[in-house]
Amino acid sequence: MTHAYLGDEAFSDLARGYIAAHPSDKRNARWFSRYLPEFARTTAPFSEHREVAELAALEKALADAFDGPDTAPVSLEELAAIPPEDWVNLVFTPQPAATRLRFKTNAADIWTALNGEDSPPEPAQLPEPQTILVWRQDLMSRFRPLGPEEAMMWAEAAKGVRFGVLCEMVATSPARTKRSSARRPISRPGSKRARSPVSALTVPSPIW
Amino acid sequence: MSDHKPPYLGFGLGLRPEHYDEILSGEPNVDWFEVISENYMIPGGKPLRILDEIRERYPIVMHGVSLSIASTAPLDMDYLTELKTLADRVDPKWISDHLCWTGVHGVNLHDLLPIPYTKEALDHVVDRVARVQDFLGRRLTLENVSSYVTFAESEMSEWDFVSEVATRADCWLLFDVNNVYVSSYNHGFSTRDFLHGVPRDRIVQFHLAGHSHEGDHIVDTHDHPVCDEVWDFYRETVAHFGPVSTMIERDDNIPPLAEVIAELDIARRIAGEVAEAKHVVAAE
Ligand SMILES: [Fe+2]
Repeated sequence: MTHAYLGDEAFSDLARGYIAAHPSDKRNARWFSRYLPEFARTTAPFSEHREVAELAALEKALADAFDGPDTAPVSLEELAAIPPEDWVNLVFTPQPAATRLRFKTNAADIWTALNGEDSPPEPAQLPEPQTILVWRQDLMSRFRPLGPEEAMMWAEAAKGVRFGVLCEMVATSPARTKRSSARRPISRPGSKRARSPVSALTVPSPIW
Repeated sequence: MSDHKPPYLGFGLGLRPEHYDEILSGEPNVDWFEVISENYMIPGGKPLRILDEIRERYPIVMHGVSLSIASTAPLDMDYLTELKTLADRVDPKWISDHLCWTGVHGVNLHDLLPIPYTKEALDHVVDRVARVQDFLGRRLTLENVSSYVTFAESEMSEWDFVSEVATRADCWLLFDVNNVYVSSYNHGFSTRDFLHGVPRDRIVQFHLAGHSHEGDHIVDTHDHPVCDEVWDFYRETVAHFGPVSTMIERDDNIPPLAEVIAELDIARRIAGEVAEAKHVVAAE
């Protein structure tokens, strides 16, 4: 998509600059472009167009999610089987292939348009940075923007904060009171559920 | 390591993601598949899942492109560990890579570069093949590459070099019919000298592929159908070596599966005709 966005000429400038700066240091060419987002973020003229680095980062995250480690996501049945009194102590572990990106531009919308072979919107700075969740579901990589509250929940949950504490945080979150002004997340097809990026649940033994 | 020569598998194809669905939903007339090892040296996800399904139904051979066996850099143990992990999962009939080098000083050129055919290079390659085989716990299969340059310091022919590596390191050979043709064209040697210069008992696989003509030289691009000259040389090769597992490599301009199978059927027909002719000769 970075290629589609930049066109052949600018993309070949980017690729050539990148190859000169990062000669392939891994046998497997699969990992060759892993520093491309950082390169585009810090190297002129691409650094002046931040959406380029963000598109490259999204592409890399989708590729990493596609062939990242296998883990079985938690099923609804498993969730249903957890005794109500244990919920407060649940700890969510994101699947290893899931990542979160922080975008300052509308790169996610540009990606979606290019992916649908539509003409992309003009690049634009977002009023507030946006968190993008990238994960794998049914063997395909997916992404969707997270609302501010959801992004906060993800960040805390990924740190190992228990479900009971997370609930309290949501209840008192400033993002919650601001919600009406938050951007409406754009749904990707088939990405309605947030359960799949969660691959494991642990119920820690109570602390006495 | 087993002393048994790997089994004859018949006529195979390179496994390409474009063909996954057709392979899994139909029963294409392909006897086995060769996979590019590096494409599956990944943590998990769809490619490995599909490979697991395909290996349930077909024999698999692993073909690497970045072992860099002739490089003077130390062996890349991370690479070899990943290769071994994949081999343990796939249990391939054999593992091949190219008799060439792909990089030095920690830089990978992702291209298959030729070697000077000297005694020094030979000792070096033999030693490395032995160490890789010890690590993997199985024999390697090495493929002759196509080349566009020769080294003034070469002390022997390519076929002598290839044969010496195979016998001294005790490894198998993958005879790339197209590469012999391309190199003979570019360097002006006789394909027959090459064919008769390598040991029959070491050959476990043939590669066939298309190439492109660039005026005064030809480049092994794997993006065309196999040409008539290469089919003729294949006929001669099969007549010389007898039945050897054969596959067609197509890495670019990938046509529908049926089209590649139609090409594979040409190989089947030629090998059948050669066997028939031998039979007739033997019966007389
Ligand atoms: Fe080959």
